[in-house]
Amino acid sequence: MKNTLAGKVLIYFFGLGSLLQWPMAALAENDLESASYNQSVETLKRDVLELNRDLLILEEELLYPSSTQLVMFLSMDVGTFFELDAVKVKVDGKLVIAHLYTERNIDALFRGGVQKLYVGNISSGEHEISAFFTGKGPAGRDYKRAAKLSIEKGADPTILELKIVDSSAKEQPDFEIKEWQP
Amino acid sequence: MATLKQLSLCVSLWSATLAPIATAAAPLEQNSLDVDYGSALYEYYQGNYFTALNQLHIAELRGAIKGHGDNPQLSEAGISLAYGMEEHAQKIFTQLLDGNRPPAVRNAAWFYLARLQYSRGNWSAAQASLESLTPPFDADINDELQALRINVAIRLDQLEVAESALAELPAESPWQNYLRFNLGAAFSRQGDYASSVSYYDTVSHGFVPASITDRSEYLALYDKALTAAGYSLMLDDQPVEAIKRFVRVRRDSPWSDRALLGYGWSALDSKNFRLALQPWQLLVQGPIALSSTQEAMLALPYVYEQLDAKGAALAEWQLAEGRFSDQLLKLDETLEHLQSLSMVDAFALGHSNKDSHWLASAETYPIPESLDSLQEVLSSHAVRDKMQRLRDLSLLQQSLGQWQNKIALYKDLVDDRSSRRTEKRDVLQSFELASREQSMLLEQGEYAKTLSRIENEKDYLALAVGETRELNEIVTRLGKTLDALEAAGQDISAEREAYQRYRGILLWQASETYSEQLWQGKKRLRALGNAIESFSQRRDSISKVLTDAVDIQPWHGRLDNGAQRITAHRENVQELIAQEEQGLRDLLLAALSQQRQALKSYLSQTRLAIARLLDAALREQKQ
Repeated sequence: MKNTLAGKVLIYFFGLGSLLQWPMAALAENDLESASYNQSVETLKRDVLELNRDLLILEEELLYPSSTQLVMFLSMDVGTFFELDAVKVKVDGKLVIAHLYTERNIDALFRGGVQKLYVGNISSGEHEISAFFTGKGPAGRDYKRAAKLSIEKGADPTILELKIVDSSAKEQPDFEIKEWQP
Repeated sequence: MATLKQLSLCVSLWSATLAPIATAAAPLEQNSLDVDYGSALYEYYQGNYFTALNQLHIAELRGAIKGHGDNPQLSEAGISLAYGMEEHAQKIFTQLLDGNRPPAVRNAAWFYLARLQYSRGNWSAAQASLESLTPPFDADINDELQALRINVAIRLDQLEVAESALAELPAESPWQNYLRFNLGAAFSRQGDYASSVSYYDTVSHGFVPASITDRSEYLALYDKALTAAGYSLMLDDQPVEAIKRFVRVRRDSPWSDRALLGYGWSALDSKNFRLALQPWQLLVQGPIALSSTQEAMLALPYVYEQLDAKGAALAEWQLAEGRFSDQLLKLDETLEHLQSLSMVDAFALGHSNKDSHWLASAETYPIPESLDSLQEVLSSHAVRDKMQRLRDLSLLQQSLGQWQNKIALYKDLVDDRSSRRTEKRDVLQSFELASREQSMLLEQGEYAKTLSRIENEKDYLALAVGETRELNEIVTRLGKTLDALEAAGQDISAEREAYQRYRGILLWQASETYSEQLWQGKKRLRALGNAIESFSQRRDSISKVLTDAVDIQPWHGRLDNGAQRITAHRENVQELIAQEEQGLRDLLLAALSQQRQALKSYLSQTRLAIARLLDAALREQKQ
């Protein structure tokens, strides 16, 4: 009895052990049927991605035509002097977006990702954009700062970037709004 | 904007590519390229691979990614790999191997190809890819690269190569413990238990990482290494040494049931029956779904019998019989339940807000209570691979479903815009703007003609104003009366003379204001001209807006095309989901079936043992 049970347990144990050897890797199934099935899944993923891309472009063109489109991005360069908690943006004094940042959001910004914060419509002509940043500043103090920019909305999409940049000279964070040419 | 940090997908892909690519991207101040590319990275860093790939593809289609060197391609390949699109990733990595690329980019491509080949079990190809890498390598990636080299060597049974490569890895590397464990398992498979145990022992006495996450990972590996060392020592006929390892496994560890089982077998092997009782008595109290518990339920009464405690043995056999029978009934229910169970719903695979990472350690899924007897098979990679694929497919299905609803809304929106434009056009047509403009132009012409005649004929009285104008009307009426009287034969010479005098005075008065009135008349004419021009411009602009309304038409075409593609893809996704669900169900059913077979065999053994003991007792009574 010992040999049967113990042998089975050992096979079971080492069987599992070998699967966990490389923590990142799962062994792919090798039979042809499975490979062809995997390929079908991948082809489908690629097709749906292509469709999704076309639909996103269609949606943007339909809902946010160039002549009224306003897009805002948020980026953080380094971020040592400021720990972002929240941002609020007003267009002509009216709140259009407020975002609370999770650890994952902050990490993505910290690693160089740029957040697409807002897409909306504004009429042509002059507008004032105000952004309010809340978080922890140097030495962990509560920190609230604002940045403003006046823009002239024309026929092309208006692309703005809200930037949080460390100023090594001042040992303080700098906040600015930059307009990009599409 | 184009800083090192903002181009740093390479932090996770390949740190060494950062410097040259960032330099190439420096002059990007006059456009929005970085924000488009950066937003794709933002999604990628949060594990939203589907969205990240979408952003990247949109930016590529719009030509919004320029000046980033090979980084966008590396990013796309890396994200595709994370999203389980291995073929696509491999295609891009292969393109990046071209000799004209910077060495850092080629190194990144070779490294990821090696990982891909490793994950597919193509060990020789993985080794060849790793050998194509050219130093120097970034210090951050060096350990991971070395770890991959060692694992590949282990898979190819080149254990000496693996050992010497492991010796070159820094002692404080977080990979050390995993690699030592792997080497231990490899030596164990080759029957070299002494080497195997020495590696397992270095894990259980090894470097303990400081962070909490790493520590919990380390402790899981610690328990596993001790358990593995115990079994290797058992196979090496060293039960006493084996027990020393088993007893160190933490009681609340996922490996504790296997360690308890091994502990019992080691004690039995050293003929210490009483010692074997302790772990197995503990183990039989565990969940019956665990194979270790089931085996302990057979082993425990066997030990009682060896100790000649027949009463206790019979009681344990009878208890086991009851539990095995109940478990068999439960398995039958689970089997029936599984036939109609939706795998997507059962494992909540359609409720994730984040994509799974195909190259990360497999994720764990909540196991429904009704399937708790399948815990072991559910943690296998084969099942988790299927679950990941099923989750990806079900998230694709959700996304397509959302688009289907949106397309319907957008069609309504376009129809609404279209009908509003038609209404406006009708209203504008009812205003008869063209004929109004025409009559205004006629009026302007008449006015200009009159003014021109007055100016040519110096008709002062035509432009008379105020009292002069009123008196002129009276004098004109008087002139007509005088003409009538004269025609009737009356003598009106005195009245005619007075009339001529009054008219002369009026002409003189009118001439005084003539120049100013003529100027005012011309001013009015100009104002009229301006008004007509402005009216005409507005009419043109309205006409243009109405003409532009035809732009709405292509929307219908694009939306219809989108709707057709969505429907087609939804059908394909549904088909693959059904296929994947069936595959997963078959796997679980097979596992259940195996469990049933094992339980039935245990039950038979148990019943035989009960019969044997009862028979023996009966014989003893007779004697």
